[in-house]
Amino acid sequence: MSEQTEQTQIKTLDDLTPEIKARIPMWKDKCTVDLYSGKEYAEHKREDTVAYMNYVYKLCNRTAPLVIVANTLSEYRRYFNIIFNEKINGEFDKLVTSFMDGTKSDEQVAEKALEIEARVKSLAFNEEDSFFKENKETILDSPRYHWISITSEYSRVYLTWYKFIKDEFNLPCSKAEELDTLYDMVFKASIAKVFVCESITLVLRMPSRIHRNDIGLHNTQDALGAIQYPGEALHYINGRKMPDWVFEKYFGKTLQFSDFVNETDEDVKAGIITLIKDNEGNQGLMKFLNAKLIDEKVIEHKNGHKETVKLYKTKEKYSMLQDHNGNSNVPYAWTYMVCPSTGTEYLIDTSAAFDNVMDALKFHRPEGVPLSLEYTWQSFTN
Amino acid sequence: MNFKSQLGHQGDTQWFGVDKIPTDAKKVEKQFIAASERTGNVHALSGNYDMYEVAGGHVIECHETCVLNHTSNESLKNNWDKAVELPVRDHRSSEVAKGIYFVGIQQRFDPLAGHKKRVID
Repeated sequence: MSEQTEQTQIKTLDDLTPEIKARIPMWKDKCTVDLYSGKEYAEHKREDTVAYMNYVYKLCNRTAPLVIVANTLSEYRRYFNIIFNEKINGEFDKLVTSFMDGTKSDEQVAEKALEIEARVKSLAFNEEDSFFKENKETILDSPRYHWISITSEYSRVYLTWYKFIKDEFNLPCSKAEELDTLYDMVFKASIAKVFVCESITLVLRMPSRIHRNDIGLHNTQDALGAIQYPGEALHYINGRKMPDWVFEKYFGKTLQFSDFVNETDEDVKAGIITLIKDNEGNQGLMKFLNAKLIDEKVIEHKNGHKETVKLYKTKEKYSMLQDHNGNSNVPYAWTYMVCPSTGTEYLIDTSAAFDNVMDALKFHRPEGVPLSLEYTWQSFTN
Repeated sequence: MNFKSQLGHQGDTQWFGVDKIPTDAKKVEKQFIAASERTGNVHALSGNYDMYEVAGGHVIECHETCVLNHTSNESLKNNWDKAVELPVRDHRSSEVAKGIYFVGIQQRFDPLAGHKKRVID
């Protein structure tokens, strides 16, 4: 067996040095920071999307297509129907067919695509039109997308991992020229979805803004959505899709307790809870849920400090909640205390298994502190 | 390590008197006990003490009275070894007498998950 050269040596996790590992955040940031912040959307140029799709078609040995770019979800839906819905695409079909007869240069195609895109935008297809309002369920198709690894919202992730592994570990790659080119173009192309045909492709741009937390897509600060397009919002809380009405009612100040009780989807209920807590704290949530006082105690600590602590629970039980014993369908519960230094009132989520505020307070002491240790501060309470 | 008393708290940091430094405690450089994730202010001890890492928090052996501050990172510079009161951010400063202590962070409970997590202060 011949010796492996350095170039063909298989890399292992041992080659993932601390220095390389330390550069991973930089690679991730390049992939996401400008996208999430809206900078990518603001600086987008249509010709970069067209150039990318032309290159993809070239890799497939196809001539450059007509590239139609939709800037929002509703534009994509409208263009999809105008272009591909046989019930209403007669005029458009004639336009494209007559143009694509015969050989055309990339430049001719690009120029025609601009003209056709303008025409698509101007076609009498207004969803507010009474004809479409009455008939849209039968006339309008739900838009479809084609999943291709290099023309989706995840393409930048795949290409970034490729580039990271190749460059950081100095690995040879027989497709380096093509993949490096795709990597260099993918961020500016800013493609979220496509629908591709022989002579025409419809592209949806990436959103104008994205909000996430450690769990997933998430925005509870306003009604603009976790995924934003101009004039459009897709709402998510902790990675779960939320119906528009929750945000419309909450920020419109019309959300009622009955809305919460009547909601049958527990994930939506949990989202409502999070929305209120994130904006109004536990005080706001308690007021919304109509909580009651379960236990109250005045503690005279050994250092002379006197404080009143309380335990609250909601009257209702909620199936998506659990106590610390793993029982579900329990009420919300909070301990109440006042910070001696700042006077701030705190409502701390606690387990609904407690009916005694002292047991609840002991429960929240740091890990390792025995429950048998008396709950009384001997020295300082700040 | 036996817990002898519930000494005091500053914000969400809670202090307990213990009888000894555990044998598996790892001595570490002086560092803040907790940092507020929202404001960046820190709970930190100033004075003559040794600090050890243990499961769930730290053990601190104060060789003399030390001062527990809630202050900014900047105020801490050059003040780790002097038992001085530093500019207060939210919580009042406190004296911690000579002795051995366990200090940990108040735990939070997530009713949607059914288990504990750290307080975000």
